[in-house]
Amino acid sequence: MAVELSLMARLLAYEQRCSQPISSHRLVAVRLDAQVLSVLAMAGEDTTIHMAACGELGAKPSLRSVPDPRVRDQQYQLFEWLGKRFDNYFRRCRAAGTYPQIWVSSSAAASHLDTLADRLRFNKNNDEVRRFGELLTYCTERFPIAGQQTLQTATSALNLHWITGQDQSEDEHLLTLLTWLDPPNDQNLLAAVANAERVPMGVKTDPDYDRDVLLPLVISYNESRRAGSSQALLDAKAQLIHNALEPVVIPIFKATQRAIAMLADIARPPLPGLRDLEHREAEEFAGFMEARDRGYHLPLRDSAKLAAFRLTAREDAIQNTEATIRLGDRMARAAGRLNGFVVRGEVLDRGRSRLAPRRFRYEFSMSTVQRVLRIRLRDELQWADDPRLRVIVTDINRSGRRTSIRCEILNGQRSIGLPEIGTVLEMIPSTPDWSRLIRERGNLKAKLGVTPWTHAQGEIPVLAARKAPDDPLAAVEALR
Amino acid sequence: MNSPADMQARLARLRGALPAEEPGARGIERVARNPACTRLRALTIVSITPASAVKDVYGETASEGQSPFALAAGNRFEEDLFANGAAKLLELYVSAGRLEAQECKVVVVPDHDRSLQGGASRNQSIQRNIALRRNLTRQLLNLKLNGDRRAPNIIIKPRLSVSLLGVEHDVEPDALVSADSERFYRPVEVKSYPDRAGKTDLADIRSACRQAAVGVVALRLAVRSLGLLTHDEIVPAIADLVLKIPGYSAGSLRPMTLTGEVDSLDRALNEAPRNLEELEALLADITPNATLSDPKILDSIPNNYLPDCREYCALALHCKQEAVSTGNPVLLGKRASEELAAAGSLGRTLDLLRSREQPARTEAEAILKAELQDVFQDYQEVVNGR
Repeated sequence: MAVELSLMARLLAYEQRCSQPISSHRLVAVRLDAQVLSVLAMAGEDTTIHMAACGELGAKPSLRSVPDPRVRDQQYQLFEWLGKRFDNYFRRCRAAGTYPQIWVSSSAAASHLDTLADRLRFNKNNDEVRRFGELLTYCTERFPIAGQQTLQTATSALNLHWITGQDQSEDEHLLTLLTWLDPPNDQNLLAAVANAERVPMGVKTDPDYDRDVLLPLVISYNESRRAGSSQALLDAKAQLIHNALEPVVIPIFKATQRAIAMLADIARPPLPGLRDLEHREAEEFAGFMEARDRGYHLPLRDSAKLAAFRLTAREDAIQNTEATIRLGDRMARAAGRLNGFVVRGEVLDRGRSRLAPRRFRYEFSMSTVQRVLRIRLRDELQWADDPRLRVIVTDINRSGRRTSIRCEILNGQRSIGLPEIGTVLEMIPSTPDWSRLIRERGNLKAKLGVTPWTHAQGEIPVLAARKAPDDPLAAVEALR
Repeated sequence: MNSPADMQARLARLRGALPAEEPGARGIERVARNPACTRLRALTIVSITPASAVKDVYGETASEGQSPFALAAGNRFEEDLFANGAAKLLELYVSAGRLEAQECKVVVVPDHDRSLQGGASRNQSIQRNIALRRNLTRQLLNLKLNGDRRAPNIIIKPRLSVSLLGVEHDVEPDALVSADSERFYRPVEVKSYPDRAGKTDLADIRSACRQAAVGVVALRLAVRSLGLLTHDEIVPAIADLVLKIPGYSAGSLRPMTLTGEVDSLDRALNEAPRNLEELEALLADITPNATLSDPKILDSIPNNYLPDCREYCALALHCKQEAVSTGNPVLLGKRASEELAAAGSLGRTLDLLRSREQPARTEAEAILKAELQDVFQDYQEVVNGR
């Protein structure tokens, strides 16, 4: 089917000029002790923070700025200030056995923190700045992992729950997103969205604002600094820059707080698997902090071996997060039905056949009218209502709009048994497996004990020729 | 065959009250990003930038511009690389093993400009210097093609030309580079974007690669004008990106294969309206003596609004307003635009969904209607908690 659930929701949002729900549950954790961080960088200077606003949920922000972030000593003072806040917060989380949660406005802000983390954690001149870089690295390295709860961007979190009547790329602007979520009563929505778009919500100030307001102030400050003016004059000029940046950073901070409040107050139950995701987060955090205590180095680039481990962890996180959401969220499951990964069908017949003494085969057939089905022979499926029932697909027959699927039960013969005829079952491809990563890591450790020739120095090894199968075509068919 | 003066006169007539602006590599790659946008092509052919069209034709505020801080950082990075006979750029190539230590012949083309001389106006002087740069670049390229050992290894700011839609435009790649053992040069694009390896912003890379591809196309044209026909072999679709290492003033060197970018540029440069005649005919169809400085005329030239237009075109917001007024499905994204194509507009799609008005007009509409209603039912079931 071409039209997907998300497109339908987007179409309805456009029609009703109001965002539409796209989840049946709350899919992200909102920690009460989370920190909200909004930073402004100087344009063109990618490892700077011109002003930072930091605070707890629902609280007013603490603000800190530097007159010119290109002046290293001033910039380090700001990093030290932020580093202390992070360090205290991380210590509290560690003592409580939980994990830290940092909220930023959008992926642009997360990306900026990532650049800073890459740069600051190798600082040799200032231990506090290096420590800040290391702690920031934990957040930014978690960010690309599916289902992580540490570094949250307000736009992504909102987009998991609501869909707007505009292009997805436009949803990365937090204020336009909030305008769709909470449309003004007295104004045309699209006009309000166009106005919202003009407000900076990333990490940069508006170029015109830079030219007209900020640049003259920074030039004036630097001229006074170079001329050796009094500290009082420099402070006064620094205050002017602070005053110019404050009205830019505060709306970003407030919008982020507003987004979090919307998520915290959402009238949807938390995803049943959210606790597992948080548990994984706490484990990862504990592991990271322990590695810091032991003095392990955080590399800028992964070695081939470390990359293999991390890639596996990412793949595992994607599989588990998808499975968790599909299992717990009705909207995700409906989307799965439309794209054919989830099968809903009615049980047509069932039977038990004896294979040997005390060995039986339990089978049933189900019929579905789904237009799109992405299942093949030998696929394993689990019952969404009780995943203990695991089946393997043994036959698929399509007749007109109706598809009949024959399944053999692999697990749950006794605990659940054969489903009653007429029962409607919803079968999903997988459920979360939280121990898989440990097993995978064990396998990788054994496999990579000796560096493979692809990544080792030396010649390409000569492999002994293997005998080709007598009938190659039959061998290929046997794989189907 | 039109003389250059005739050509300029025709372009000036189409521009109306607006002055000519060189589109540069950025303007040329912009056309290639959205070749179906006739409005953008028309403006580029007559040398009007989208930002000028927004400001001077529509009287709106153009949102295309860089922060002075970013401009200063970019200029500082470039000046630093090219200072002292491009010492840092040479060092970068030597440390990457692309040039030997003794391969240090550098020509900075703008250094050969002549200062303003008595009697000549400033404009005349600029034109003369541009001609000087063109000739010098041509001579240097010729040296290399003839295998002359005096050919420089690095040419900073060469002056090349690209024929865009039948009109010649000058472009100035940041540099050209070639080892003595190599047959010809490859373009170098210098950008102060932070190089974060796999985490580098894709939009930044895309934009830098496309501008570098303009350099490849211009070099190929130059080689052809020097009498060699096998330009694809001599100038492969490869360029070097020099990006900034975050937090340092040093650059990083990234050779990039640009086959896709060069092909898309070639396609865009060869598509309709291929030349000035077609544009003149298009405007004449709207009204005789039409000029692009008239907002009504410009509005009547079809555009092709896409959500990513805002990445590179100052007209994006104006075109989006048109899309809003017509209920263009692209407002919901490119995918929506494809999937709802049978209906043609969001209004019609909603009519099909709600079964309003007359029944489906075509078979494609009927299929879409059935799909929409099925998905709507599923969506409502979930929203209502069933």
